[in-house]
Amino acid sequence: MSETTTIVCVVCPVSCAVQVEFEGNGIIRTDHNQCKLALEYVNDELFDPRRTLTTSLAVDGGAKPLVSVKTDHGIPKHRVMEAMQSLSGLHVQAPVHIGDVIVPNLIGTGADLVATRNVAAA
Amino acid sequence: MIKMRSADVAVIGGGPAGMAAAAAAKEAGAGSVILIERDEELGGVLNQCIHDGFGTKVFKEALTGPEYAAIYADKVRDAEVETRLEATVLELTEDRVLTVLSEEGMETIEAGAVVLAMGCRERPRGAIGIPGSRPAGVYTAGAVQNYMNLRNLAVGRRVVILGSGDIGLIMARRLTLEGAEVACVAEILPYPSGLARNVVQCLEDFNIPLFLNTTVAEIHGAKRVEGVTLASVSGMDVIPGTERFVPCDTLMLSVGLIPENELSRQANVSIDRVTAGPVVDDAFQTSNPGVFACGNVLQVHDIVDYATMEAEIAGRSAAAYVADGTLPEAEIQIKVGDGLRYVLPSHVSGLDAVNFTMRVTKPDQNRAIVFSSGGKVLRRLKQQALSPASMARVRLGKARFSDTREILVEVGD
Amino acid sequence: MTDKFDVAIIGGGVVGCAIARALSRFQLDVVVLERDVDVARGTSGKNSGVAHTGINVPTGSLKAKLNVHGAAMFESLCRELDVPYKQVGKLIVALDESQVPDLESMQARGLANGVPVLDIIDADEIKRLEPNITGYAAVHAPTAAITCPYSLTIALAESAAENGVEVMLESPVTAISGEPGDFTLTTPKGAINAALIINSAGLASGEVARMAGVERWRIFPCRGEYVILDKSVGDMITRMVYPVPPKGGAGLGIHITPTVDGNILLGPSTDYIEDPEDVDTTVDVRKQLLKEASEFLPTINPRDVITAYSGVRPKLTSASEGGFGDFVIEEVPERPGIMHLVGIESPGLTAAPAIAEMVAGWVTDKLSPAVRPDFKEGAHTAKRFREQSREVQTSLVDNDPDYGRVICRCELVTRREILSAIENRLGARSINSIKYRSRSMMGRCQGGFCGPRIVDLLIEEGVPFDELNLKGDGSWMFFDTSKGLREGHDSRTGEAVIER
Ligand SMILES: Cc1cc2nc3c(=O)[nH]c(=O)nc-3n(C[C@H](O)[C@H](O)[C@H](O)COP(=O)(O)OP(=O)(O)OC[C@H]3O[C@@H](n4cnc5c(N)ncnc54)[C@H](O)[C@@H]3O)c2cc1C
Ligand SMILES: Cc1cc2nc3c(=O)[nH]c(=O)nc-3n(C[C@H](O)[C@H](O)[C@H](O)COP(=O)(O)OP(=O)(O)OC[C@H]3O[C@@H](n4cnc5c(N)ncnc54)[C@H](O)[C@@H]3O)c2cc1C
Ligand code: SF4
Repeated sequence: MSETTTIVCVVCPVSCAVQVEFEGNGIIRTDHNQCKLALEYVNDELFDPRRTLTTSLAVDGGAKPLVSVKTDHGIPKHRVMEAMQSLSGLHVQAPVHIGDVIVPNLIGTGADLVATRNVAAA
Repeated sequence: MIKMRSADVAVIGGGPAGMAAAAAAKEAGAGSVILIERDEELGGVLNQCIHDGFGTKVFKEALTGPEYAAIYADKVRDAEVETRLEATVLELTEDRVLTVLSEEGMETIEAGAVVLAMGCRERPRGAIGIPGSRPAGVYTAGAVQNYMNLRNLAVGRRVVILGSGDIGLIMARRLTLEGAEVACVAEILPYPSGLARNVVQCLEDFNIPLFLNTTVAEIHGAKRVEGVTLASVSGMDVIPGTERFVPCDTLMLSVGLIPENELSRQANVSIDRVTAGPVVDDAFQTSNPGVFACGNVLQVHDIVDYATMEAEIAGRSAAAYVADGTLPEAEIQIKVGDGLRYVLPSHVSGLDAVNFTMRVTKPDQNRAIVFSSGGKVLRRLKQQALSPASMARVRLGKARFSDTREILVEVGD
Repeated sequence: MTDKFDVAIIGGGVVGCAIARALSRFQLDVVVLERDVDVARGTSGKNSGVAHTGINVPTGSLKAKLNVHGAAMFESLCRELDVPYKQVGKLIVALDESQVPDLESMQARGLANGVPVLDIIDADEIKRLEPNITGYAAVHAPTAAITCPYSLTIALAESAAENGVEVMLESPVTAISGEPGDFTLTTPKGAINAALIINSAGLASGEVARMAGVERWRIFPCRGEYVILDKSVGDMITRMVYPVPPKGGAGLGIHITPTVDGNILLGPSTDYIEDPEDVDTTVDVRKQLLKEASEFLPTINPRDVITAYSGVRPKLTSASEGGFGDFVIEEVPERPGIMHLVGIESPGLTAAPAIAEMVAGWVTDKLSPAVRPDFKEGAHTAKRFREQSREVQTSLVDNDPDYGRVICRCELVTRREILSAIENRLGARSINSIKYRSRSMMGRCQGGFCGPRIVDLLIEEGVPFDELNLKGDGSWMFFDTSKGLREGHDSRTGEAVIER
């Protein structure tokens, strides 16, 4: 028996209210999504909810006090706070460039924490 | 001494809109393009929006604000746009003379065309009139975001948020992630004013309560905020007996953005009462020929991609204006019908397809956005859900503009 | 610490600061003791900012004398100290014929008090002067002027400090003992010794008098709330527009006042309150102000309100008594050596220069000091960039690049002006101290944009982020660094989290 539910796609601000029909652990069809980016999100949200974590880290010797960072993939939603805890106290040495991997395989999720901003050395 | 110079196109504001407009103007053949930004770097509000969700339309990818800004900063550099940082435009005359102040001194620039891209500012406490004392600890959400994400300063430890605007929701998550406690979000309207996406991933993910039909009736604390009185409202009036005290050390306001149009007014550009931004045609030309507007100075955007897209048209139009001395007349009037707060642009030339942007007056389901002319429907676009929080965007092909002088846009069935 | 002064002035309002500056022309050791983090934080910072002509005060009263005399001194004082002053004039507008006798009696009283010019004008003339105002007839007082009350108070204090007066902030006087020539004033910062005392403690002047054993004055606080309208509608009027004062009321009625910065004030209300420090603003009064002001100026739109504030009048008459209470400026015979200034309500701002002259005369009679030969008259602060012509602005930046960085965009305040405010002579470092000295954070965004930039400058100038405060002890701005919140220590210094 298939089931239907509505999931708000959070990938971008359009916030499509996506209708999903699914059975077991597979999606049969989706409706009301403006683009394909919803598919992976909805699938994850149903069977393995994930979030991209964005935050910042303190920079040593930089022209700015902080560098912004993100996980390059979603990490399990229930591990977000644990990931934040693991970053506590972490300092990054300037210079930093967009895309630099700051923490590989963050708390074993398989996602790398990468810089999203350039910070020159002071 | 006041220095004097000229430029084909001058772009005011180096946020995403200004960057895209400047690069597009240059690529469309404008000889000299100058981009003026008062901050020390390009990017505008994106620099402090370290969350992701930018670029899904243009790049089919959810980038963070700084990443999205960096792409356009590179474009500006590659296009050889002259960029002036830490320079503030003090004045703009009707005939497009800019007065610019920087550490190098005072300068006037005579521009062939001007693109307004000054963004918007936040509505402060006074404007919404919360009564009570005036302790430290009342901040606007954008200021909290700036302190937290750019300056490594945390404004408090236990926060109540008034207003469910997007910046407030984003900051609810941000504060929670960093270890502060967000007690609740109070929204005076019966529905959230921020996007559904942000209600889900910023509040629901973290079990932060959202109280609708609720406002802050009073702020407590002499020196620093010690708490607020929340109260339920009917319409805009507090319902007696519903008051309750919530202890907190910070009240964060997310009660809306106001386009920054002081310069536009100086240049005698007509301002729309609803959007609080300039009235424009489909070339994004304002009522003052040769002056164009795009981005948040025009209307408050929730999706940067659309700001970028309209800015590119504005930049190309500015280049065309400089080349040709004029642009085609835009004589087809767009009328705002039932269910809509506004529709942009307000008049079009009919020579090209147009992407109309608009906001509805209230949340609704299973309706349609209907374009008609003299009773004849030109386009009906079914909408499963309509929300004032999301800007709707509807394209009308060039063919639909033939033989019309006036098009009505409304929410219909 | 015990310091010996000739004169101790209690209260850094416009009155205390004007007295301090008047005394700084002499070779005297003078101290101003102010309990707040800065001067001008009491009533002197929260009023209509009007240099009144002297129409509304009973002929023959001390108020009338000091008002008219103060008004005559005002312009040159403002010019000396580089404080804004604009003689915009005032209309007191009658809405119908029945109020015309009131206009006539006001005109007669004003002229008797010594107001230089007062005319009665008709409806057409009102329209010609103020096209947006509707009225039946009006008193026109062309010499009425507006100023910036906190700028004046601060400038007086800083000029006094420049000329050797010690201004001690966060120094409430809690007890007074001793005799003339040898008084002791107790403050948390130590005991202060002074030969003479001036009690210019505003709302607390009755209480200060009691500290010195003088029980006779009771002060009834009466709050006046205002709303401020955005500059974009500042050109709705050019003159002050007042109603005919309500009979037996505690104030002049809700008026519409342009400010020297181009905003418009609506207010003040009149509400007797219990706590003199209760400067809350309320929803009801806000509505009332908008409603009453709209009777004269129908174009007022609630959307143009940028903020609200209130000030408290130190009345010597209670709500039930109503009526008039004159200024009290008295040395009490059985407790000599202390000059008490009590009930200095409106027009206390206007009268301040004259009050200062009078009180300085009392001091010089007693102490016969020599004149200070090197008295410095002028201001020493940065120029207000926004008020200069383009030519002057250009030469300012050419000589000092710090004038080229705009910090507050709404009010056009430059880095130089913020730095000058931070380096002020009184050592006031609160965010509000910077605000009132530079006008930054006072515009339509109320600091949303410039706040972070001013915080940067304060930190650059050596104020640690965890000591930054809005208005003194306890009004902290930042709990911690963003990173420190979670890490349990300050990520800038590696030190443990600050306990709050
Ligand atoms: C908190 C928040 C979250 C958002 N989240 C998303 C999201 O997830 N996804 C998404 O797609 N969009 C998002 N947006 C929307 C997007 O950021 C905006 O639409 C976009 O930044 C608007 O760009 P702009 O260039 O018009 O304005 P701004 O970015 O505000 O830039 C205006 C620039 O003009 C400069 N300026 C102004 N006046 C002058 C002057 N007189 N002289 C010189 N320079 C001047 C300013 O300094 C500023 O840099 C978000 C916006 C906010 C505020
Ligand atoms: C609503 C309103 C509108 C007004 N409008 C006008 C107008 O337009 N024109 C006009 O001429 N006048 C006006 N006034 C009157 C004018 O503002 C006052 O007369 C004037 O500011 C009084 O100054 P002050 O120095 O006596 O008192 P304040 O400014 O109150 O100063 C007293 C100071 O003493 C300090 N203090 C108190 N106790 C102690 C202590 N124990 N130790 C140390 N310090 C202490 C306080 O902190 C305060 O700073 C208005 C007043 C109000 C309330
Ligand atoms: S489906 Fe596409 S457009 Fe809709 S919210 Fe998701 S990412 Fe945005």
